[in-house]
Amino acid sequence: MNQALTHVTHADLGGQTGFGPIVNEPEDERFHADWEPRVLAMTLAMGATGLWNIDMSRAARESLPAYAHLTYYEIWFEGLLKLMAAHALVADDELKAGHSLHASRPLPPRTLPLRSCCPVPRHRCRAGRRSSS
Amino acid sequence: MHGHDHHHEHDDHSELSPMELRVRALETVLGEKGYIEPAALDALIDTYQTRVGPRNGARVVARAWADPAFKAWLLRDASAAIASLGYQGRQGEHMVALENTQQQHHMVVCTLCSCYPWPVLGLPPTWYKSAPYRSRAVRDPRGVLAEFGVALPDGTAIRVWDSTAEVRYLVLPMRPDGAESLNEEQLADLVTRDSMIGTGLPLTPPARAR
Repeated sequence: MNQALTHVTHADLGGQTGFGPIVNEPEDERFHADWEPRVLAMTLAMGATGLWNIDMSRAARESLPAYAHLTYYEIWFEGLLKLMAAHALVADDELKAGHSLHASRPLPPRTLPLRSCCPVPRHRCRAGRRSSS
Repeated sequence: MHGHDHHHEHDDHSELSPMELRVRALETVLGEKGYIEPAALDALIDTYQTRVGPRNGARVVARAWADPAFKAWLLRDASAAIASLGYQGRQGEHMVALENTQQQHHMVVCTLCSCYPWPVLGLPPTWYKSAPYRSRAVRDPRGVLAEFGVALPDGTAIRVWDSTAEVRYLVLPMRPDGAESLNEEQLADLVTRDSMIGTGLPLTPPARAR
């Protein structure tokens, strides 16, 4: 696959230097802005459509050119936009307008509405994903 | 904003950040298109804000400390042993438990992103997802531990595990001395989130419990 060979990731940080100190935080701290949990939930909910799998989600995020300059949930948001654009689910003018302007694309039936990933043993899950992608 | 001279246009939501506006726009579009239900999003958020977190993992560790048979099961088949306590699902389907000993300390990272055992530890903390930890954990684990205030004996080897999208790790810390008489609930109170990632140690029991 040429695509696999040309894939550029900005996420391979293991062993690099120069990122500064680690900043710990309390156990009950989850989010740092009101929009962050919405991005988490939209990502999980759209992932549950089965249109893409966890590896495709990661590839969408880790290949973002601005990866190093974005916060964690900004990366999730941009990755989600990328996946939805690739599947023609949302158009740019709709994001700009903040409203749906075009017909919706029918989604595959959701058998597991609240699961984004492997609720079944891995081998079955993989088979299911391959056939759906 | 004071002290700056802003010339850009302000709309009705000028008090909201650009990200807030973009996220709201997307959520509105997805809702109008019928791709998502706002109530489903609220339920998901509630799950990870209030129901799934490191107290789950603390109960797993406490059971392992209290019950040798459970500990053996946890080390043999972590996914099944953890599921028996009711913790399973997304981002934790394939669990591996790593037992810390005097000779061997385990520490978990995800150098590529933020893979983390959600059902037992909840959402990963910011530092776990951040470049400083991801880059340095595999290069200088002892230095990283020092930053967390952990100094292990020189004779203790450190093994770093790099998580994948499939396999997620739970560190089983050593039971602190003086915890022999505690019940499971009291034991769970000693288990910190960081002790289950390997960047911390469990708390020591309060003196009067000894």
